[in-house]
Amino acid sequence: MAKVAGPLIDLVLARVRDPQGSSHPRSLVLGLLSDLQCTLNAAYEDVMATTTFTLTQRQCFYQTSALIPDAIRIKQVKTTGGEYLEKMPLEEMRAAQPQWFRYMAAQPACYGLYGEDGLVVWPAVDTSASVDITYVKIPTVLAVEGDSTEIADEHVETLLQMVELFLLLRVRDKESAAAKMEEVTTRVKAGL
Amino acid sequence: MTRATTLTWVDDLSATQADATLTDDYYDAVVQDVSAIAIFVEASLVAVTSGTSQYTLPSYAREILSVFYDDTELERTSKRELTDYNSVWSLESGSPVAYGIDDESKRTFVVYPVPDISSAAFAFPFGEPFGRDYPRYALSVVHTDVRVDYPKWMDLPIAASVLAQEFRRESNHKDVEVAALWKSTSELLLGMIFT
Repeated sequence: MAKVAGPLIDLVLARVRDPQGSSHPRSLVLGLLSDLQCTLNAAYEDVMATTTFTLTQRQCFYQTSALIPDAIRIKQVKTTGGEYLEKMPLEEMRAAQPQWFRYMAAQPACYGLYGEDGLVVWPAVDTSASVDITYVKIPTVLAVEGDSTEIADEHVETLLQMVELFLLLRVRDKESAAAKMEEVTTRVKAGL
Repeated sequence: MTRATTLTWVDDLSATQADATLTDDYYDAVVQDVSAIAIFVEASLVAVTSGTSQYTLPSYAREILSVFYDDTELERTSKRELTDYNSVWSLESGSPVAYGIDDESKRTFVVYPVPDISSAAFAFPFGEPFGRDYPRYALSVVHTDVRVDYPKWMDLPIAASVLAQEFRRESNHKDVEVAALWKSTSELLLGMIFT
């Protein structure tokens, strides 16, 4: 269940012993919650979305950031007929077909990734076709205190601790920040 | 989602102690490092001139991931390997089968053998340079990009890295322990995202 930002701000400010927000304005804490939620979602992949994308004839390479601006990374590609495309390492495409970059077929058979942003839907199609792309999404900005988090509840505590870490570093409370860093690192290593 | 947002975070999180001019430079240095991660990947067409082996990457390109000549992916090699293989490699002509980084500082690369056909004109009536308009005998380079603006989810990892540099430098607010903690914070976030 999503958590409302306002009470989370209260909680963080209480933990850093600034319940009135005199050192850390509530708007600053809200901004950290919002932006760190985006960063954590890039790691935890909680918030996903699906979009239909029309392939360009005879083209297999696409730049994700240009096609889907709110995408962090691609997780799944399927044909509009519902067939999932296998994710294939680019080396295997190269091995399968030396002219793979311009190789064409009626339907794509697999997809591959160049880093975070380069999507290869292969082979390229020689007629018009579409695919459904499921991707890790940039969560909606927490603009006001009534907005709610989108990452999974089990990751909200890590989000709060990460915000605490940033606030402790902001006031250069080194001892507390070092302890918090250790705590957050332990949580992250435990997959929390 | 922009350089400006990240630098505003740097200002806020340093309690307005950060030097705006220096953090601007630190930002540039950090994104140069980050661009090696392949957050942005792009394909660029490079026109081929018959008899010319050396070509230049676009100004925004950072690392070459693949090079294709016409429809064939080229093997990556180095000028030394080419020379070991064939001391007069630059006199060989034909359809390129390999490429090597020529001079990273000048952003150039060479292809081998030297192309004997110039690429077709770069005309894109369909607006699909990598689709129906793909020019014959051209080079396509898939590369990482360096950009001014990074995606929103990178704002705080980059800001933390900039803050690490800001608190490490000689100043009236120098604090190596805080610098180290900001660095660890940035590394922790990047490690979470990219592992």
